[in-house]
Amino acid sequence: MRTFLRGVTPALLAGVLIATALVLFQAPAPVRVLAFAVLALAAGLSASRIVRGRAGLTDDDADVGYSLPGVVVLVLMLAVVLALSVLGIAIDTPGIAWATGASAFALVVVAHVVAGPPAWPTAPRRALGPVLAVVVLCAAVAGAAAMRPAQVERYTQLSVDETPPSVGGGERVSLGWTLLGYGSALPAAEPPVEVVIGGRRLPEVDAETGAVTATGVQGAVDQRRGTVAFTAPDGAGIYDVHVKVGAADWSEIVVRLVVNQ
Amino acid sequence: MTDAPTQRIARVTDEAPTERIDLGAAETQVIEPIRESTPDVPEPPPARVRWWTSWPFIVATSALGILVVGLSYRLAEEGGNANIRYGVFWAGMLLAAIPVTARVATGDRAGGAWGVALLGVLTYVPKFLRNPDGPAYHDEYAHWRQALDVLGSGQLFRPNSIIPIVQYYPGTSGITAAVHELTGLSVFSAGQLVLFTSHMLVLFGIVVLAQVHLRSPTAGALAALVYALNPSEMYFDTQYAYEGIAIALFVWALALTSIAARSTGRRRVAALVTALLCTAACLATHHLTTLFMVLLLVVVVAVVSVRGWRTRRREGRVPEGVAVWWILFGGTVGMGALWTTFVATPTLTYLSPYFGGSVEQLSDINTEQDTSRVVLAPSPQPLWERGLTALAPVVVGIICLAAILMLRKVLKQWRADTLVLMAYGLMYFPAVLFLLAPSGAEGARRSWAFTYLGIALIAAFVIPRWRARRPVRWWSRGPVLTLAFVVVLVGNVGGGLNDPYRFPGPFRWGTDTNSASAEARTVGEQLAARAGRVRVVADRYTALQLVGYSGLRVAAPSEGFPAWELVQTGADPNPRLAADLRGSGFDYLVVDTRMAEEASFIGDNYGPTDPLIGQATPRENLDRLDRVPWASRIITTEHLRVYKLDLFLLGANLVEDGP
Repeated sequence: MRTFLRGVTPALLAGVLIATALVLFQAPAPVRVLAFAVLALAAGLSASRIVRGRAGLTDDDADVGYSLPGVVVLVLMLAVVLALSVLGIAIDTPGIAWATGASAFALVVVAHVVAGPPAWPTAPRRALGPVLAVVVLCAAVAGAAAMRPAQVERYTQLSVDETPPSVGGGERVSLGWTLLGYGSALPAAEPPVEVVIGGRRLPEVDAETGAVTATGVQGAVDQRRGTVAFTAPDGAGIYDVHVKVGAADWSEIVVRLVVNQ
Repeated sequence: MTDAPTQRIARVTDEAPTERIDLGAAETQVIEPIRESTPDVPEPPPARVRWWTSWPFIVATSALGILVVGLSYRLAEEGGNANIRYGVFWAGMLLAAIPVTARVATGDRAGGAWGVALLGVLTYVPKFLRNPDGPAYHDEYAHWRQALDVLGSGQLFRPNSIIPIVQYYPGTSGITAAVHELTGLSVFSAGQLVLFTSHMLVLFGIVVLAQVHLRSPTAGALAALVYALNPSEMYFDTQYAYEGIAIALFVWALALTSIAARSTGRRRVAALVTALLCTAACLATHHLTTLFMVLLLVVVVAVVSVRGWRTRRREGRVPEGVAVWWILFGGTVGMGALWTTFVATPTLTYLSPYFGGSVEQLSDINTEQDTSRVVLAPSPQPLWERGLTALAPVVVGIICLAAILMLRKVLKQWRADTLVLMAYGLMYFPAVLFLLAPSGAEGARRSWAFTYLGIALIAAFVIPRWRARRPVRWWSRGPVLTLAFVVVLVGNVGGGLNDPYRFPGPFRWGTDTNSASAEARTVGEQLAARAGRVRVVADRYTALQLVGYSGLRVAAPSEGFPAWELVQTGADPNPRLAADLRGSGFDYLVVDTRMAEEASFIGDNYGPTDPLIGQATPRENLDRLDRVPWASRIITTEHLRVYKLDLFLLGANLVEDGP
């Protein structure tokens, strides 16, 4: 018991509990990344010690000792989600946090029993060089990523709010439309609106064009909404209706209008 | 014989005192005796560390090299001369990779381990910089969407319309979901973290495997270095997809089993159990990796058993390790059979075209030139890189030939499992032939990451022997080996993925990567917002955006379900297809008009059954959709059109005259 309390094991167990709590309480991402590192190290190093046993590192084991924790973490993460799936527990933050925390805790305890108390890491001075190298390389990667020019696509999207239902001959038909601007703001000038039915342009349509407003659509800069109303043809049949909003060739919606007698 | 390893350790640690790693008990412990004869491996003394192999210089050149690779991507993004961006890319990569390679080749153990770690970083960075923020490769969209759906639903085994088989292999999405939930990183970043970890684990798994089999610390690092040259290493196996993860588990299952086969008692059991756990995880992650493992294990157990039987007859004892390989083989086959029978039932159907089709097409090459793939055909890839791609197998072949010549006289001195793993590498050469077959190109590419494991062992076996010869011949001197390294590195990367996969660039129709556009993405998001996760017919490039970002379900055209008829013919779909589309709920069609502006870069717009392979879609085919009664254009941008389909109106007539 005295060995247990003096060793690294209590610190590892406390680390596992704290890390699990941080994940469960949805701490900010940078904190959770550290919490994950604690869980992964505790579970991975313990499992690695269980595999190697009390004999410690042999020559062959040196690289195994450094790498096996990573392998164990991969397998453990998969085992956790598969177990949750088999047990019918949702794969979400609480489920994964509890399962991972419990697994890490159990591995630390089993490693203590099977392989004895772990030792504190030695020679931290030797870590200075690798840490500096990691910082330099990360800076280089960030610099290389920053060299890429930012790509902004500028385009407009036109959509009809809903396709028209079947109507009777001569009835009024109203279609709503929405223009969304991406990458740049929509032009301030109102777009011309015209309607072509069965290949013939309607001389008169009731077009209401709203102002450019902010939009909640993800990625879009702004939007303009409007409606266009016209009288359906008298004759029964299926008509193609082209509603053109703006001057660009592509900027039209094409719907089928079924006119009943 | 028993003392030899101890002497080697003493030599390594004595002659490189300043570079020693903390081996802990290793420096005082005697390695377990090898119970089957293993020849002594020449271990050349570590070379002196010079300024160009010192760590400050290596790290500085690596950082500079990474920046130069970033510059090459900037040049690619801006378009322009391909020779320049390829030249800049390789200038950066070689600037970064050659000094660290030289350090690994010095032979000191600590330098080797850190060198392998740095090589792991350097071979991961190009793909990471290619698309650090989101998916770009075909398989990345599939796995990213899968992870999103797992997280969204809280359940594994969600359907996947980009790669349907992914549904039955939850390893990648499950691990990503776990890391995402634990770290709070974005799903793609969590996936990158998993892939980076796996990438490093593969290289260190090779280190362990080679050390165990070749009994030499130098050979371990050297094998990892050679493995890092395999054509899949830099781009294919670093993409966010299942093979990159599974291959780490594959390598570690082999490494741990090799350790178990050479150990006794508790250590053997622990290593074997861990190996079986790795196999199980591999099984739940990737079908093809599992298949390659089974194929390898079949040969290993066969050869190990025959050797064991002959030894027992001759010497009256059974060599150790035979049972260990049988247990791994039995475990893999048993678990694989259970998984494919009860969980991943469509696996065999999914995999069969890769093999049957390739063999068939390979046999047709002599008679039907049109069906064969033109190797390295129209591509911005410079001629010099293509030349090195052709040269790389030759260099590898010379090394393998040397290994065969060296081994033939001492074959019986080597353990059977070591020889089989080396022989596995020779499968690389027939796989190169498969590049000539259209679908075999995919199968060939997939095999390289596995067969190079054997190549790595062979090279790690041969090169130290060359260098240990006195006097050292010209062909085993540093400059020649460096040249061989450059040829194989450049050539293999060139033979891996195509230009749009390797380099970012301006929009180019017909590539999975550079045909991606915000336009397609936001159109998909708008459609999903108004209609939900509906079923859609779309070309294969737009489909990636629609599925990846919006979770729409996209049709997979085939001969029995030619959904491309809506666009790739100038006529209405046949009634049977219309009925299938209606019955399956495919109520929307998304068209990118750029398919009418140029032919697809990779050939087709709707998969292998597309009737217009190699041709742009006629503009008239797209424009007629505005004149048929069964389609309404409800969302439009400059290039994208979304049609709501009402196939009950197929055959109806539009009224020609308006009011």
